[in-house]
Amino acid sequence: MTRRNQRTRNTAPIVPRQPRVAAAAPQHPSPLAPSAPGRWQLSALVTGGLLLVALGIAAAGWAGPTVGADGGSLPLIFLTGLLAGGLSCLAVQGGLLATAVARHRPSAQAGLAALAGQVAPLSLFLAAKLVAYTLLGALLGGLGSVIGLTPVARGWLQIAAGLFMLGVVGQLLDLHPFFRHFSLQPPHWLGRRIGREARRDSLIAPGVLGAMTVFLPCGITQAMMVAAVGSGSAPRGALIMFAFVLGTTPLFFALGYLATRLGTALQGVFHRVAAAVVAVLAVVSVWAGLALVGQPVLLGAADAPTVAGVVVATPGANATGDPGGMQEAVIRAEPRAYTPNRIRFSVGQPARVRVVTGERVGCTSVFTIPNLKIERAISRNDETVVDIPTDRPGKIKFTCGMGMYSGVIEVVP
Amino acid sequence: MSETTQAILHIEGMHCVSCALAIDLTLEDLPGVREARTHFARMTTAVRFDPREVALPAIVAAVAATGYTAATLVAR
Repeated sequence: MTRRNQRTRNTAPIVPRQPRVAAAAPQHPSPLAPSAPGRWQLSALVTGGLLLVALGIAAAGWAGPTVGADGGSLPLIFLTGLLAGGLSCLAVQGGLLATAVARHRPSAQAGLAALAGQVAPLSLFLAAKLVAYTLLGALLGGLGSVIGLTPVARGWLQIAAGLFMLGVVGQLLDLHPFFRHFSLQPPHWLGRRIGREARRDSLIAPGVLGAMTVFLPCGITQAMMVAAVGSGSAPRGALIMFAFVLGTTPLFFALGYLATRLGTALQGVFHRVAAAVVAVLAVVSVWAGLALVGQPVLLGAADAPTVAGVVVATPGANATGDPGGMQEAVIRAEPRAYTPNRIRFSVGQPARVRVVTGERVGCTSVFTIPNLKIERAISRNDETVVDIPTDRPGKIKFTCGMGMYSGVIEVVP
Repeated sequence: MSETTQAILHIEGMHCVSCALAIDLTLEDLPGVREARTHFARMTTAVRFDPREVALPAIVAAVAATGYTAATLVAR
């Protein structure tokens, strides 16, 4: 045993006793060296690659929401975990993971045998983590349902989550010490308890440790937790956290062991890639949140590229005229759009929209008119009829449950 | 009951809350250190120790051994 290992043994308890892992402990110091252009280029390259993969997957329709009412964003959340969550969360939980693996490595074995020795604790760690976060999601979703969030309140939550994510970006890039406050530090006693657990020599220790990572959520995880509250239902909250943590799992699995040896160079790249992906997510989250709270400017901008045609619903023209002169327009809730998304009604005549779903549904199946406090969940191959007040001219915005797809009903003289 | 000394260290190099946790656990393993509380956002560690068992430079060195830089802000 070298002197260095001896010393590390005594002083680095979070990755203790295993010289190879202990030697990797100094990866924690920030490796961000702004003067290294090579790393920036590598970061840009990796980020670009990941985004291309994401776009490819989305274009192939895999991310097309098909999972039932308002579960439409789950593939997106999974992708978030896959692309950004793993990178950012690995930085926070990497030390614990290294310990979970290291404690159960049969030191005498080499090669495949040693690898097999790591898979078991790693699997236990990740499975326990997945279960713990799913339960947490259910809890948070349940909390959201108890406090009964309106679409508008959910919009504000999404905006808050987006702004929080921007803070995380600042922290990942080490822009200013201020951004360090965008982190949740577990209370001292809890941190100590987790640390002690990491060093216990028991077979279930990696599992306990994995479950305890709920107390060490990274920035993006915290944003997902906000989303789980915002979902307003325990099953949906559980699904959100499940999809997200499941997304982070492959990277944890592949790099859980490797990352301890990659040293500081790649860690810096990780941070920048994660920062770039989180920045994109932050903007999407704020944008969707603004749509939910009925922010007019952005909604107008969102309409422009997605106009599929204008329906003028008057008793005499396109609308199916009821005897009482009811104006009606049919809106198809497609997985990724409302068609049409611009409806016009005449002022003073009763009006209604019939929102129809098909075989494939996404978050559009939760039809929301934030300003009228209307939110209707529609099943597959079903419809809902919403009465639209036409007592005065104006614009009434509608959007999906997540604020991602929207449209406008104009009441004109 | 032994007399303890408190010191505040400024820590450079942390980039997540688990770094703060690592420092606390490292220091609390040192003989003579009663308690260490690292605050990630403030970049400080408050450490309480028995000066007859461990000296401040040894504590600073222990932080350095885990890969961070520590400088004494206050000692009393």
